[in-house]
Amino acid sequence: MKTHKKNSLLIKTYHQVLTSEWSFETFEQCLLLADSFLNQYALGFSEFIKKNKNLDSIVLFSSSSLINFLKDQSTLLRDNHLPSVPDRLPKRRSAEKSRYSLLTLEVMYNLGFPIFSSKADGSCLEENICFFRDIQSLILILASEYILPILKKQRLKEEYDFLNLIMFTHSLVAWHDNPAHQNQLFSIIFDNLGFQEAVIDCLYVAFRLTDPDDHDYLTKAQAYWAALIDAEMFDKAKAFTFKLLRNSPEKHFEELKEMIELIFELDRGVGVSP
Amino acid sequence: MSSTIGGEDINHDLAIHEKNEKEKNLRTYARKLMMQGNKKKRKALLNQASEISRRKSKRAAHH
Repeated sequence: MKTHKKNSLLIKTYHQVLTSEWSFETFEQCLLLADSFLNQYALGFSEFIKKNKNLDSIVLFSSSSLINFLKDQSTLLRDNHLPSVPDRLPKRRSAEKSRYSLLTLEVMYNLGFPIFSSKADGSCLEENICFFRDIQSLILILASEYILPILKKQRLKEEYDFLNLIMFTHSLVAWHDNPAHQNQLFSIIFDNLGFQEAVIDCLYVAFRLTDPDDHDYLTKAQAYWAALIDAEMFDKAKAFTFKLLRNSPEKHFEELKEMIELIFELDRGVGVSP
Repeated sequence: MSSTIGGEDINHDLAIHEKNEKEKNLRTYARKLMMQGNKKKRKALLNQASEISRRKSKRAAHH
């Protein structure tokens, strides 16, 4: 009975994180959710830190299993100019920088799970790994939104590179069976790295792999359409919208009409986007 | 769609009516922002909408 109550609470928190107005606090709440979930198996980040209290984050970031994992995966797509794996993490002297460095480690721990864990294959989570994978997806998106800009601003280059690499390898490894979502996540990472052409390609693939009857069809269409407009590819965006109108279910017509009106206004220079 | 947290069959996806309402609100807000700039904010809104609306992982989907 207690387990059922705990599980209901975890799902309730997941729904809160998913649907609330996102902020830095939402990001922190999501990390707490992951910690609570994994601590059911005594595998949360807080337990990990307790067990390794004599080690500082430099040692944790430099574990050979992490470095080897990142190097193995990132060589697969070397042409994409991913950051190289940092050799080491400099000692962070200010309290503020140390805090963000530790927060980065917590994100890496969760996205890389179970790389840091002694139970190396994560099989202890059994079927529950599907719920954890959806929590990981939220962590990736929220970290991209709320921690990466801080790392950049604070010039924490090594943490910034580590985080981008773990986001990429997580998307590559954990989401291979869901290429639409995998490409959605890639688009976020490539956007962080400034590869706008790759962002457009990934958003298009994510859209094409989504069935018109799926819930996220119109959202993925709008994301691709907006990326075309941001790149000032108005003709392509217009052609896409008209094609979308022909192929979409009727329930989307009202929003598609808005998109068509909007693109003509933006092309005429009304409004400030892109 | 279900997960088996603690061995019980518990759905962690949102109800369809909740998805419909929330994703549409986020898309509408993102379109509104296109007239005002704020590219970062509207990208985040669409990422959230996509995360809300996508099918959540199933039991068979493992790492």
